[in-house]
Amino acid sequence: MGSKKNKAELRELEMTVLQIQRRWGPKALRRLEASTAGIEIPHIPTGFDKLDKALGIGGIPRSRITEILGPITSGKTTIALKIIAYAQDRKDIAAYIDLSRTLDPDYAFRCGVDLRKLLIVQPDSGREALAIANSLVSSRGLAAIVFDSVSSLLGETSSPQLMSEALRQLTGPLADSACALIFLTSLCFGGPCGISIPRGGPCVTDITQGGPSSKDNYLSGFALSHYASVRLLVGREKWIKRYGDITGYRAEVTVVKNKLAPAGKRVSVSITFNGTVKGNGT
Amino acid sequence: MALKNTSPKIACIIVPHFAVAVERRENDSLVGKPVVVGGMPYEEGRVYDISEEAAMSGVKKEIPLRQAEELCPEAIFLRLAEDKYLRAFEELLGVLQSFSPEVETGGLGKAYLEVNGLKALYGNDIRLCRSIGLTVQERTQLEAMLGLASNKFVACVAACSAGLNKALIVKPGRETRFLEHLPISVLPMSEEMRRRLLLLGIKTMGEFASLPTQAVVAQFGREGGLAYRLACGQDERKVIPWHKELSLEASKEFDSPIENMDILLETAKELAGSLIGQLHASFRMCQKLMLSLHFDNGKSKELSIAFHEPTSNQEKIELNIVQLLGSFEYPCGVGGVSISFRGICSENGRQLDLFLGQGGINGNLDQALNHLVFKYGSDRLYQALLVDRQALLPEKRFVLAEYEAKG
Repeated sequence: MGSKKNKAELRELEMTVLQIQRRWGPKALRRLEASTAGIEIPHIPTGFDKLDKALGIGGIPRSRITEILGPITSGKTTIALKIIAYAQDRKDIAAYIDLSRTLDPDYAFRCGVDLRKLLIVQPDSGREALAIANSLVSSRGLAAIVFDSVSSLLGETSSPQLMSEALRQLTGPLADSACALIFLTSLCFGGPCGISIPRGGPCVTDITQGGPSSKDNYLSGFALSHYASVRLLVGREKWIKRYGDITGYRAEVTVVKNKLAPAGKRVSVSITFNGTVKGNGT
Repeated sequence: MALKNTSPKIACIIVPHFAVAVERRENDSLVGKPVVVGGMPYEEGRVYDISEEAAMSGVKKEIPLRQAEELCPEAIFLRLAEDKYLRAFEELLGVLQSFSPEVETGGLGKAYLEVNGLKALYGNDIRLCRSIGLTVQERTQLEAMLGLASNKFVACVAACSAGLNKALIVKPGRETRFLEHLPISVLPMSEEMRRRLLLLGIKTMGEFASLPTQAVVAQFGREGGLAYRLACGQDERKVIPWHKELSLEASKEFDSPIENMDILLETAKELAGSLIGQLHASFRMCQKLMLSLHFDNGKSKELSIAFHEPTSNQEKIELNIVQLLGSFEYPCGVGGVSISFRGICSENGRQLDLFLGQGGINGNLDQALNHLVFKYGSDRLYQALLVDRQALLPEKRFVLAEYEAKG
């Protein structure tokens, strides 16, 4: 009885769709999957197979902003360096805006980055860093730019306004280029950032709720979370030990926001640093 | 005053066995001996040129070198030096251009010269031919055969019939009579057409020219019609002037023989840099790069690379220099190095990319970086340089060097 009713409803729906399409044209109504199927979005692989799958498009998108956030030693920089290494595959140049002055060239080299094709920028202030990022994006000559880190803007006066203004200016030239702009944001356990990451993995709801109480704590305001097409939340799960020695760690990556594919997916990646840094999606 | 309608006058100059003649010019001991140019008999190559003596033993052009040795074991085999022959031929063409600017190349060792209106300068045709022959011999040390006629084909046949250091002049109107006793093999035609003509009993050009035109065209088509006109002494082809290929050259002699590859490479790059500067200044590009090394034992070696498309890109040229220097064998120290760019052409010939190429993208980036250095100072942009990969402390392995603005 119920199936008959469903069939009748479906038939009615089809008839309605046909009537609309006859009157307003075939493009008036169409299925979402059919319209997006087969379109490959320019992207850069992250180097972690599972994460690439979780992102839906095979990596992080070019011409868009990606934010990687997570606490200290969670794997943000490693993921960013891996992305740079893949971005350099086609002999392209990448830039690392080292606002926090923490880039270790040796570690970058071990992550597979070609240092001859890496431009390291060490600006004096956040405003300068954002202006340089704007110039580099506008040049359209870079494959990827990593901004390390948004947390270093904390000391700046009115950093949310600064970030909001800079991102508004960046999105236009970025859309015209083939550059992937990656912002790294450090979160602290009850530190100045004030966002609580419970032990045993990052909590998505804590940073995505975006209530007025957390705005003051979220240093760049909501601008970055608004402009970013992809947001990845990284958290260290556990250390990987071998015969009592730490050889790496497992990190959990959650796709908090994704404008190009369904968000909310969560994968584990293991980062080992025995001589050369290797990462595997598990 | 009405202009006098004069028939064109074309001279054909042929240096037989040009490559051998050039080799003999440099080495007198080769004179009178069978010579085969193309490589050593044990090599997998083909015969490029032969001397008259080798030809008498049955050696022909384009046969394998091994076969050439079997036919003429006493022959002297020489390696192929095509660039040398081309240079010598250019030298010959340069000499001919001193008579008339309208010189056309007809292959290595053969040239046509438009000699209309030279009577006032050189006198009659005999004096003109004598003057050309003597000048060629004096200035190039090469022996040539000369033919003078009203068109290219007859002039060429006349030159071939003249003999070394001699000239044959075919007066206007006498072309048919000059050609009539010559065999049809002189005419450009396919083997099939020649075979059919011989089957018809036509052996000379006179016999061929006596056939009705329509019948020849009906039987042999367009090819037959062209051969027929030539057999009748008619050739409308004009002399197409040849222009000397522009080239740039730079060389450096060392005070003492160099054995250090880095110094050699730097010197070669420096020489190339000056030539590239000249190319850029004149909005030109080059098609071929030639690098020659003069060794301390008095010998010289030359290698060349032809680019896929004309270029004036410094990076590309330097990369090829590195490749060429790596291809040389170094029996001893290098006393001198010279670089030359051949096939200089205008930049207009370059096909522009539809999309912005990597060069353009990098250009934009360089411009942006220069702007940033200018605005914020050079202590903002860095590049990591490897200092000591084996250093125990990771921070000692790399250093951050300030970015150097380009341009």
